[in-house]
Amino acid sequence: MSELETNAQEANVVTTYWDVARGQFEKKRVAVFALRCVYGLIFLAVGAPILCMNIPYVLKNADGLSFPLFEKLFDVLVFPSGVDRFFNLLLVMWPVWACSGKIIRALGLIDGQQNIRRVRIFGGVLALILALQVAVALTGRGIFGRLLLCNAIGIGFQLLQAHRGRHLQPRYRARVQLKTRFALAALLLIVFTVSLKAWSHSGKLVLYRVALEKQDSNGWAISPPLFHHPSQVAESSEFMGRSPLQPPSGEHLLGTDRNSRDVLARLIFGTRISMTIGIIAVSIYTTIGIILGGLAGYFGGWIDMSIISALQVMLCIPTLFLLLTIIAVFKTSSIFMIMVAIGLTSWTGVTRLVRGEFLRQKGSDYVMAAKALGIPERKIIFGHILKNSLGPVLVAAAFGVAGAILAESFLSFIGLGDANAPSWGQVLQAGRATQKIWLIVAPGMAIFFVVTVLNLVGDGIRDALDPKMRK
Amino acid sequence: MIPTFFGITFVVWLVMALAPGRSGEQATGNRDESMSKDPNKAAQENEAQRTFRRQFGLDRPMFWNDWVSLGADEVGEDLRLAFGDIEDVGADNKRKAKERLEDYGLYAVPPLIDLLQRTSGDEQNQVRYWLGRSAVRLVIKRPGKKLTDTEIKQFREWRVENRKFAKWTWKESAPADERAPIVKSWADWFASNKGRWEYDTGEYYKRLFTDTQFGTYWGRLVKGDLGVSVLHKRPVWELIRHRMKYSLSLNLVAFLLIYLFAVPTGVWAAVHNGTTKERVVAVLLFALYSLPNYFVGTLLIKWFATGDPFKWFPQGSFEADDAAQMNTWTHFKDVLWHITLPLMCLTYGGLATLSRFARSGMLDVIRSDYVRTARAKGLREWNVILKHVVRNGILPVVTLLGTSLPVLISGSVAIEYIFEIDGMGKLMLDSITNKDFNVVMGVQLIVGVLTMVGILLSDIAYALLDPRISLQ
Repeated sequence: MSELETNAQEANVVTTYWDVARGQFEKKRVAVFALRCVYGLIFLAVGAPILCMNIPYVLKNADGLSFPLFEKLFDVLVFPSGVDRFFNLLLVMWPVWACSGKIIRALGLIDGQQNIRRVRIFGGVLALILALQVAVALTGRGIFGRLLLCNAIGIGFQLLQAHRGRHLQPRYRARVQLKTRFALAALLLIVFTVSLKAWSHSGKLVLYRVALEKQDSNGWAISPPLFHHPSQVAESSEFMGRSPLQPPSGEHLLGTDRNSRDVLARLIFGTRISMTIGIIAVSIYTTIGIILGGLAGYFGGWIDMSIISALQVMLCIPTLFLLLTIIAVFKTSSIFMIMVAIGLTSWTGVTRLVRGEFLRQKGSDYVMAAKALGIPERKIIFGHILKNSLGPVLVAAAFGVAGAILAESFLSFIGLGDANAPSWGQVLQAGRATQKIWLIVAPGMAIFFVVTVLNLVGDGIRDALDPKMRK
Repeated sequence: MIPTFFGITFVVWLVMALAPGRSGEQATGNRDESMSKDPNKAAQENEAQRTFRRQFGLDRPMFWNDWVSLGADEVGEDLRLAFGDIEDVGADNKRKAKERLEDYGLYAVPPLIDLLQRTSGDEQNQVRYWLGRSAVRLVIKRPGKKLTDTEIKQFREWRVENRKFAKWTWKESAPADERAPIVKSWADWFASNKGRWEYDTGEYYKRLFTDTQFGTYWGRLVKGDLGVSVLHKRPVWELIRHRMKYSLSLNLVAFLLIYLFAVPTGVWAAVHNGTTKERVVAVLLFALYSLPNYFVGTLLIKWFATGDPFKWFPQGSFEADDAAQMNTWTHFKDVLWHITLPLMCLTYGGLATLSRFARSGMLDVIRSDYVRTARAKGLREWNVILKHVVRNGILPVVTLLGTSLPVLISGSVAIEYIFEIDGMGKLMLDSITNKDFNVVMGVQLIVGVLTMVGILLSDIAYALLDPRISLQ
C-alpha cells in the first residue's frame, strides 16, 4: 500500500515548462548572480532608512527610552514623498509576513515536512521584530498600533491559506500560495491608501545630530551607520560654515551636492525611486500590451487591423518625444505621473510580441481541444494561450524595467523629473552643472549597475526560454 | 502610408489637445496673471489671446462642430449661466459658459439677434454685449506671409464693419425707446447679411467636420503649414529645416559608423563564438550597451573638454562661432573636431546593440544545414562566411534600419542637450521648457514622417535582399 502511495506521489511531480526554464536559468551563473543583485537592490530600497537616516534607532535621554526612527517612519516632515512612505510600510510589514510564512512552511503546515531548525531561526527573528514593533507601539504616538493589527491579519491570512491548501497537490498548492501573495500585496496597498490621509505629522523637525552632540553622559543612542538624510542639509556641527560642495570624506563617503546634501544617502534613497518606476511603469504597459496584443492576435479581423494601425503609428513617434511632451503639457513632474506616462507610451513592443505569440498558438491542438470542450473564450485567452505566451513577455519586461529606469533618470537629468525625489538623474544633473567628478561618477555608476544587472537577468531569462540554447 | 500619417498627426495633436486648461493659453501668457494687471492691458492681452485662438482654430470644438446649428435656447442658457449668481450656478459652470460664449464667435450671431429682439432690461444688455463681440470678424495677419490685394480689400471692409458695430451700443440704464433704434439697426444689418449664415447642405457638413480644432490643424498641415513658433517668431517649418541639418548630419555619420563597425564585429563574434577573445569582446559590448549615453557624455566633457585632466575637444556646439568665414576644408576639420565627442556618445550604444543583433543573426545561419553543406563541398572558409553566412545573416540587421532611426533621434536629444548642439532634439527640449507647442508638434511630426519613410525603405531593402519576400 505504501509503495503504491509513493508511486502515486512521484507521478504527481510534473516538470512544467517553468521548471525546465528555471533549471536552464540556474545554469547561467552570471544571470543568477545578477538576479541576486536585483534582490539585493530591492532589499536596499526597502531597508534604506535602517541603513541611512539622520535619526537614531534607540534614544535614551532624560525623557526616557524612545525609538525615534521607527516613530518617524510615517512622518510627513521626514519622508515627504509617498514613495518613501510606501517603502517604509513595506519595511514594517514585509519582514513579519515573510518570517511568518517561512515558519508556517517549516512547521509542516503546508507540505507536512517539518524543519525544527528553520522554525527556531525564523521564530527568533520574528519574535525580535515583533518585540521591537510592540515596544515602538507602546512608547510612541505613531501608527504602529494599527500596523501591528495589520501584521496580525497578514499572519492569520497566511495560516488560513496554508490550512486550505494542505491537502492539495503541489501544483495547485503553488496556485494557493500565489493567491496568498497577491492578497497580502493588496492588503498592503489598501493600508497604504487608507492611511494616505492620516499620516502622522509631528509638526517640527528634530535635529538629532545636534541633540546627540549636546547630550550629557547619562544618555545614549544607537544610530544608523550612515547618519544622513537624503534631502535635508547635512547639519553636523563641524560641517557648519564649510562650502556646500564637499569632496568625498570619512564623514560623507561620496561627498555632498550643491545643497550640502549627502550624495550616498541620495543614491540609496534613489534606489527606491528607480525600483518603483521600473516595476510600476513596466506593469502598466505590460498589462496594456497583453490585453491589446491578445485581442488582436486571437480575434483577428477588424480588431487586429485597428490595433495594428495604432501600433504602426506609435512606432513612428519616438517614445521619448511623446513622453517629454506629455510631461510638459500636463505640467506635472510627480513621480506617479512619470510612471503613468512611461506606461502609456511604451506598450508597442509587448503588444507586438503577444500578438505574434497568440497568432502562433491560436491554431494549435490544445486550443482546439479547449474549444471542443466548450471552455469559454475568456478562459482560453487568459488561462490557456496567455500562459503559454508569457515567456517572451517576461524577457521584454526584464529589459523594460531597465529601459524605464533609464527614461526616468534621463527626465530627471534634463530637469523635467520630480524635483522632490532624490533621483539618480538629478544627482547627475548637479554633476553636469558643477563639473564635480564625484557628482558625475557616483550616480552614473549607480544607473549603469542597475541597468547592467537588469539586462543580465533579461539575457538569462531569454536564453533559458530559448529551446535552441538547451543542451 | 496615408492612414499612418493621419494617425501620427492625430496622436501628436491629441496629446496637445488633452492638456488641461484652455488651449492657446500657454502661448499667450496665463489668463490669471494678465487679469491682475491694469484693465487696459488685460483687455489687450485678452484680445491677443482671442486672435491667437481664432488663428489656430483653438476656439472651436475638438472634433464635431455642432455650433453650425446653434439655437437661441442654447445661447440663452449659456448667458444665464455666465451672468447667474455664482452660488446658484457654480464657479466652474460660470467660467465655462463665459468661455463658450467667447468661442462661439460668428456662429452665435443669429441666435443672439433673435434674443436681442425678444429680451429687455439687463438681459438685453448682456445679449447686446455678446453680440458686439461675436459679430466682429477678426483681422488676422500671418507673420512671414504677404497679404494679397483681395485680402487687403476684404480686411478693410471688415474693419469698417467692426467699427460700425462698436457704435451700436447703449448705456446700461438706457430706457427701451432709446434701445429700439439700435436693436433695429442690428436686425436690419442681419437681415441684409443673412446669406452668410444660411448654409446649404454641403457647406453645413463642411463646417460640421472641418471647422473644428482637429479640422483646422489637419487643413493647415495638408497645406504644409506647421504654424508659427511663439518663441522664435518664425514659421516652424523654417526653424526645423534650419536645425535639421545639424541633427541629420550628426545622426547619419553616427549611423554609418555604427553599421561600419557593428556588422564586422558581429560576423567576427559569430565566427569565433565560444572562444575567450569573443567572450571578452561580448562582455565589453554588454557593458557599453548598458551605459547611459548622457552619463558617458557628461563624463567625456569632464575628462576631455574642461581641462581636467585634458582639454582636447571643445565643450559644446556644432562648429566654431566664426565658421562662416572658414574655407571648406578648415570648416570640415572644425566640425569634425567639434563633433568627435558627440559622435562617440551616439555611436557606442548603437554599436553594442547592433553587433549583438548581427552576431545572433549570423549564429543562426552558421548552424544551418546549407553552411555545413557548403563546408562539406570543400569551399574555403572565407568564401563560406562571406557568401553564405553574411549574405543571409545580414537580413535581420537590415530590418533594424528603419526602426533604429527613432531610437537614434531619441538618443541624439540627450547628446544635443549635453553638447549644446542646436539640432532638432535641442529645439524640442527648448520648446518644451518654453511651452512653444507649435514647434513641439512640428518636430514630432517631422520625426514621425522620417521614421515612416525609414521603415518603408528598410522594407523595400529587405524585399530586394531576400527573394523569398515579394514587393507587393
